[in-house]
Amino acid sequence: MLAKSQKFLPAERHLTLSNGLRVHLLPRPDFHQVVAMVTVDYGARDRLFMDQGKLVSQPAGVAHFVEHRLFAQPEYDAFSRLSELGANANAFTTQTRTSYYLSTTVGNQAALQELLTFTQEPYFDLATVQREQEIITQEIDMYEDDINSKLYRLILARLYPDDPLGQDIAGTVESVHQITPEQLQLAFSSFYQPDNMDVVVTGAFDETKLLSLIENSPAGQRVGAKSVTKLVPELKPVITTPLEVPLNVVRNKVVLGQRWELDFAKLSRRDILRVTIIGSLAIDLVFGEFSPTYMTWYNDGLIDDNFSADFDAERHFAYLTIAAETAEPERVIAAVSQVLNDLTAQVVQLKTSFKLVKNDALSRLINKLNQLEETAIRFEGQTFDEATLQDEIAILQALTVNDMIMVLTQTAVSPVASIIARPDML
Amino acid sequence: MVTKEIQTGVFVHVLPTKQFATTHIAVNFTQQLNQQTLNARVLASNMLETASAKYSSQTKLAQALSEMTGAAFGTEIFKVGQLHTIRLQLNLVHETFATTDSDILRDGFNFLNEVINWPMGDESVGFSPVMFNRQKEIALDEVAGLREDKPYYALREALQAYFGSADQALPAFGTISGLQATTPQQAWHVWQESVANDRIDIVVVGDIALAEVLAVTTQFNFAPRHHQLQAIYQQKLFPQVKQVKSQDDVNQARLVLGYTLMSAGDERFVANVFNGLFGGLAISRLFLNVRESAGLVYGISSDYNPYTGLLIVEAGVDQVNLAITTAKVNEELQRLQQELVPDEELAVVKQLLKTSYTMTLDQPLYLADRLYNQQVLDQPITDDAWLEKIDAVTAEQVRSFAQRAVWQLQYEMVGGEVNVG
Repeated sequence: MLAKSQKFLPAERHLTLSNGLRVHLLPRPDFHQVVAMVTVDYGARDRLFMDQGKLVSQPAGVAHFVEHRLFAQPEYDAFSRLSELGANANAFTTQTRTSYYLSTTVGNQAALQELLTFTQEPYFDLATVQREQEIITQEIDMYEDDINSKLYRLILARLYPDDPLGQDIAGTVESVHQITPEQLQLAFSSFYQPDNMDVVVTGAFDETKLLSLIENSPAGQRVGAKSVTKLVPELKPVITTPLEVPLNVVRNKVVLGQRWELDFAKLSRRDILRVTIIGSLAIDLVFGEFSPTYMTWYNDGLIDDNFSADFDAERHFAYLTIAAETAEPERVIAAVSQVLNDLTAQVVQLKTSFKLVKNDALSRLINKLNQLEETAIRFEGQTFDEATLQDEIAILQALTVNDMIMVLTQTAVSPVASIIARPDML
Repeated sequence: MVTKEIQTGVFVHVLPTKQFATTHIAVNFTQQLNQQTLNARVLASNMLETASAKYSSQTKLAQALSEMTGAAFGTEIFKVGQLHTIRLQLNLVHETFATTDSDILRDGFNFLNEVINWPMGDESVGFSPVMFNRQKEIALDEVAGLREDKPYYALREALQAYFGSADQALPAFGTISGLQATTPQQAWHVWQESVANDRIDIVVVGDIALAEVLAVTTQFNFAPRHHQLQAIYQQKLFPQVKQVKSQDDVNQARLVLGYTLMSAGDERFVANVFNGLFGGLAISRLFLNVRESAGLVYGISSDYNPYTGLLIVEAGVDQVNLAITTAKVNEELQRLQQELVPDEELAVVKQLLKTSYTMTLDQPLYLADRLYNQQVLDQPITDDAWLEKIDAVTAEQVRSFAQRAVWQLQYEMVGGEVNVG
C-alpha cells in the first residue's frame, strides 16, 4: 500500500556536493519540460541574525528586495535572458525562504546554467536599487488594495504580535526606502551560501549530464563561507480581542487564527510535516461537507462557499486560519472558536468520515504530481528534512485515524484570534 | 487523439496517454450565446454541481466523490466568442492510486450520468426550490463580491462600455438582475433543453482507450441534435474613441484600452505572435518599455480575443501617469504598425510561444480544453503543425495585422468617492 506510488514514479536522488550545496533530482521522463529551482533557506522573517558574534538587525523587506534585484547582472538582466532562452522564470519570497525557479523544455542546458549562475552572483548598484524602491512601493500599494491579503496580514499580526510574521513580506514604504546596496550585499553574503541552499530539478532529464552541469556551475563551484546564525523571534501571547476593521467590502468578512505551539527543537522535521498534514486533515474534517455542524452553518446561510480553512507551517511556526463571509460575524466567531477549542473531541466524533477526507487529501496531492512546477515549489528543503511530494503522499497513505487523534491530543494550541471587517459606508 | 460521433451532434474525443497520475473527463454543452438562457444556465450548472436525484444533498454528493478516491467534480461556464458553454469536469486518480477495488472509470461515468440526466428536482417544480434559492443567493453574492476585485471590475466595466447592448457584453456567469429573475422551473427547462439540443463534446485525457470510453458513454442515451454554431462576433466601429471614467476606492488607478482588430482563420497564428510582441508576455514591449524602462506602471499586459476581435491593454498605474501611459501604449502600437519587428525579437517571441505551447502538453486540463476548442471551432491541428505555423509567421504579416488595429476605448478607474453598488 505504502509503495503504490513507486510503481508509477521513478526513484528520486538526494546528494550533497563538496561545497555543501544540496541537490535533489526527481525524474519524470514522460514530461515535455524540466522545472529547476534554487531555494535559499532565508526569508522575510530572518531580519535578526548573528554575524561573527555581532547582532545584525535589517529593515523589513530585505529578503524580498534581494529577490527582486538578484536578476540584475552587470551586463544583462537574467530574467530577460532566461526568457530569450525559452524559459519561464519566476521567484518568490516567503517568511522563511527565497526561491528562484524556471520551467523550460527538455534539454535546455543554457537556461539551467543561467539559473545556477545569476543566483550566485549579485550586483546591487545604487541607481537601480533606488528605482526598485519605487517598483516595490507600487507592489506594496497593490497588496494594500487587496482586501483578502490585507486581512491575512492582520490576523498574523494578532497571532504573532511584534513579529515579522505579522508584516508584509515586501516590507513597508518606509522600510523599503531604508534599504541600501550594502544591506542587500550583507544579506546575500550572510544567507546565499552553498550550504544554505537546495537545488531541485524535476521533469525529463539525463541524470549524468544534469549532475555534471550543476557541479560545474557557479552554484556547484562557489566556495562557501560560514553561514550566519538566524535568531528566531521570541513569541508573545496571541492578542485575542476581536479586531474590528472598517474596509471597503460589500459583505462582512471574518478571519480567525490559531497558533499550534509545536516543540520545534524536539520534534523531528518529518514529524513536523506529519503534524502539518494532520492539521490540514483535521480542519478538512470539521469544516467540511462531512461535518453536520458545518453543514448546518452552510444550509442556514451563516456561511457560504467563501468559507476557507488553511493550515500553514514553515520553519519554526505553524498556524491555521479560517476566513468567511457572513451576515453574522459574532456568531461565526463564536461557532468556529468553539470547534477549534475542542478540536480533538470534534475529530473523534467524525471518525467514520476520516477515510473520505483522507481520500480527498490524497487525491489533491496525487493531482500535484501532474504539475512539475508545484512539485518543485512544494519542496521546503531543510524545513521538512528534504521531503518531496512523493514522501508527502507516502506519509498520508500510511496515516490512520488513531495516529491523528494521538497527535491532536499531544499538540498544544493557542487561544483563537479574530478579525471582523465590516462594510465601510463613507 | 481519436474522435467518434456517438450520436448526431454528440462527440467523444479521447487522448490516450500514460503521462498523468489522473484521468481527466470534461463534458461540454455548447450553444449560441443567448441573453434568454444565459442566467438559467448559470444556475442550472450550479445545481448540477451541488446535488442530483440520487445524491440528494451536498454531503451525499461529496461522499460519492470522496469514495472514488477523492474524485474532483465541478462545473464551469464560459464563452468562446458567441458560444456559451457549460462544462462538467470530473477528475479521477490513475487506477494505480485507487483506494478501492472497483472500476474507477465506470464509477466516474455512472456518476456523470446521474448528475446530467437525473438532476435534483422534477418537471413541475423545476430544480428543488430550497436548494435552488440557496444556490441563487450564493451566485448573487459571488457576482456582487467581484466588485472588490478592482482589476477585474475595471475590465468588466470596460468590456461593458465596448460591447454596449450586445449579448457579448454579458459575463458568462450572468448578471445580478438576470440571476434574480430566474425561477427553478426556468432553470430546469433550460437545462433539459441543453441536454436535448446542445452540441455535446465528451473529452477524456488519460491512460485509456476509445473503446473503454465508448463502453461507458452509451448509458447517457443522448438524442440526435443538429447544429451550425457561429463563434465569431463583430460590431460596427465607433466614430471616435469612447472615453469612460469611473471612480472607485483604489490607491492605484486602472487603465483599460480597447482596439478592434479582426482576424480570420490561420491569421490566429499571426495574432498570437503580434500579441506576444505587444503585451502578452513578460518580455513584451509593453512590459519592457512602459513598465521597466519608463517605470510608469506596476503591471501591464495585453490580451487578444480572436473570436470577438478585441485587443485589450490593462495597466495598474499611478493616477497622475494615466495620460502618459496611454500615450506610451499607443506609441508602442504605432511602432508595430510602422516598423518591421527585428528578426531577433521575432525569434525570441516565437520561441517563447512555442515553449509555452509545449509546456501545456504537460497539463491535462489544457489538453482537454484545447481539444474541445479545436473541435467546436472546427480548427483541428496537430501539435507539430501548430509549432510550424508559429514559426512561419513573418515580420511583414505582423505589421500588416497590427495596422488593422483601431483604437476604440479608453477606460480609467481612479480613486475618489466610494461608490458601493
